[in-house]
Amino acid sequence: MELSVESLKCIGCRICEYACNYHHDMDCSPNGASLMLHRAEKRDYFGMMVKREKDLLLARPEGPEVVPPGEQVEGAGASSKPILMRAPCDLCEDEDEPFCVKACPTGCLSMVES
Amino acid sequence: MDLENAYMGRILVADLNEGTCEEEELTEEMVNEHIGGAAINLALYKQHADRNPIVFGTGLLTGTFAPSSCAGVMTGKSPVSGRVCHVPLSWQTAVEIKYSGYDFVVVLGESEKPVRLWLHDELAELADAEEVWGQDVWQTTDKLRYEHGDDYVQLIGIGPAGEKGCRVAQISEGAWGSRDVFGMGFTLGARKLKAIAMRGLGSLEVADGFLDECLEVQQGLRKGAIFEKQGLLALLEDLGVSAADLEPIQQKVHRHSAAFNCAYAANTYLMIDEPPGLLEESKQDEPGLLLNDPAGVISLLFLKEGLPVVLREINRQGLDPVACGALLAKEGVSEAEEAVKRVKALAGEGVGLEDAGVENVYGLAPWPLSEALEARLIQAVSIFSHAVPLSPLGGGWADVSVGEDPAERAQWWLDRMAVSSILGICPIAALLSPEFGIEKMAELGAKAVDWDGLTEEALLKQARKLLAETHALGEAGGTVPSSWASADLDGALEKLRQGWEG
Repeated sequence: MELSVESLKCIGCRICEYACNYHHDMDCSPNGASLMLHRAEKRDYFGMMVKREKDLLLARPEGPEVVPPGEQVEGAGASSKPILMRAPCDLCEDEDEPFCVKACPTGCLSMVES
Repeated sequence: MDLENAYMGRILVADLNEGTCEEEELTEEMVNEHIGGAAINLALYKQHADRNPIVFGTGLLTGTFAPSSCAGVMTGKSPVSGRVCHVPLSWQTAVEIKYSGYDFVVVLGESEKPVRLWLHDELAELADAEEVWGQDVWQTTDKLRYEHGDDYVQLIGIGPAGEKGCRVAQISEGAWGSRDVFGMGFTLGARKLKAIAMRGLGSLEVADGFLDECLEVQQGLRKGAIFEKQGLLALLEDLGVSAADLEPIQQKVHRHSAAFNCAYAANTYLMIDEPPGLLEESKQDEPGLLLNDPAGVISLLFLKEGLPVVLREINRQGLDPVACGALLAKEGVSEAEEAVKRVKALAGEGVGLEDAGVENVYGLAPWPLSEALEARLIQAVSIFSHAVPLSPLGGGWADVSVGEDPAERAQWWLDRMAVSSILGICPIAALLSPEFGIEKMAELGAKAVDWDGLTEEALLKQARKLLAETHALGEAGGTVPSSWASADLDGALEKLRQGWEG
């Protein structure tokens, strides 16, 4: 199973970041989350970035992009770089369902067969 | 009480005359007495009343896992109503105030030169703002985010309208407008405070089981009928705006966005200079704008296809769209190009609506569409912003068990606004679902901080106290238009106020 992100369902509420962080650090903040919302606010361009064990998933509105470690991403600014320092997503292995999937109000995040 | 589950424990006092920032402790005693949000704001306002304060505050639940916990509140004396008012803060700003390390920010006095306040990770600094003084809201937002090296810096600020003393200048939240109908942009401009910027890596502790309980409430909210749709235009249809009236802007809809932890995306982006179906990132810096103000949009619908361009200019200048809509309609301006010119001129004129001959109540433009007595009562009370819709959303009065008495309806709304402003729950969410009533909000608050004393009764008592104490600071000035004056209005107002004292 793997985490699926249907980007056009995202409404940018960010509760997934906080829920993910809670799994890692047991507090309420986005600072340790394995996923992070990227937003270019005035262009209304936003989508989730997920740090995975072997790569970075960019769930762009126009379609997903998988980035191997070390590769530059066009358009990535200083605000997006913290995702690189986060712990990779472990699919909340000790839980019945990933916290981000439980928390997402639109079904943007879900678990699918690999 | 586990205060660390709700607050950072700090109050900032920024003295613009002295150029200083000092910290005070947010004590358990204060929270016990006032709970949070607008109620603590008001206590701080009264404490510093001789210095003409404005207070930016967060609620007990702001920034927690509680659904729709995005809200904060700004408390100060309105230049148009002449009374103390509470303006909701939404989007991402209130959450960022708290996570920057401060639960409440008190601003005192006036600066001789333009300044800005920068809050980050438990540090506060009053800095020179000459570089951004004179710039519009969008330019200011871009510049301060660039200066601080972070696109996620949040801002509460003003545009040229506030700087130049326009009485219908609105505070802005980031690049967008707000639900300020009280001219608080003028208040910031008069003291030469250009913006408050905030960013932080703070965190809150979490009570056992709190996340699960919050997710259960969120899932219940999502069963409401309105959640089959998303966006601001769906809210407007729910308020009675026809699909035909919305069609010119419906065509430009790009995507919908939610404020922090809100299950309903109440904000809608309109593409002006790109195809609305564009999914890739636009190469243009500013291809459209975000609609976040139901009353403002309704006020401008007569502009039809021209609405986005005109509202974009209103946002940039930092003006209240409801007031602009009333003014443009009064002057018979309906072409976009002419309207943009008029908006730019209005920002520099330093006038109020009375000067333009716009009929209004206590200095405020009336809520568009509704002539219902309960709507007029709410505006006459002038304590909470009537940019927030004045009735239940996604259902009717019967769904929230309220009858036909206008005073009862107005009180229902006032109670919801007061409670949501104390707890930090989005005021629109407080209208959206019967399930998310005051009882449920109290339950979540009690669970969050392990406080048995936070019951529905206690919360309602605090809400009525907030109304009574705000009202006691002075009635709204101004006159009731002849078309509104009636014994019914006066009688219903008196009935409301007696209920607060009870």
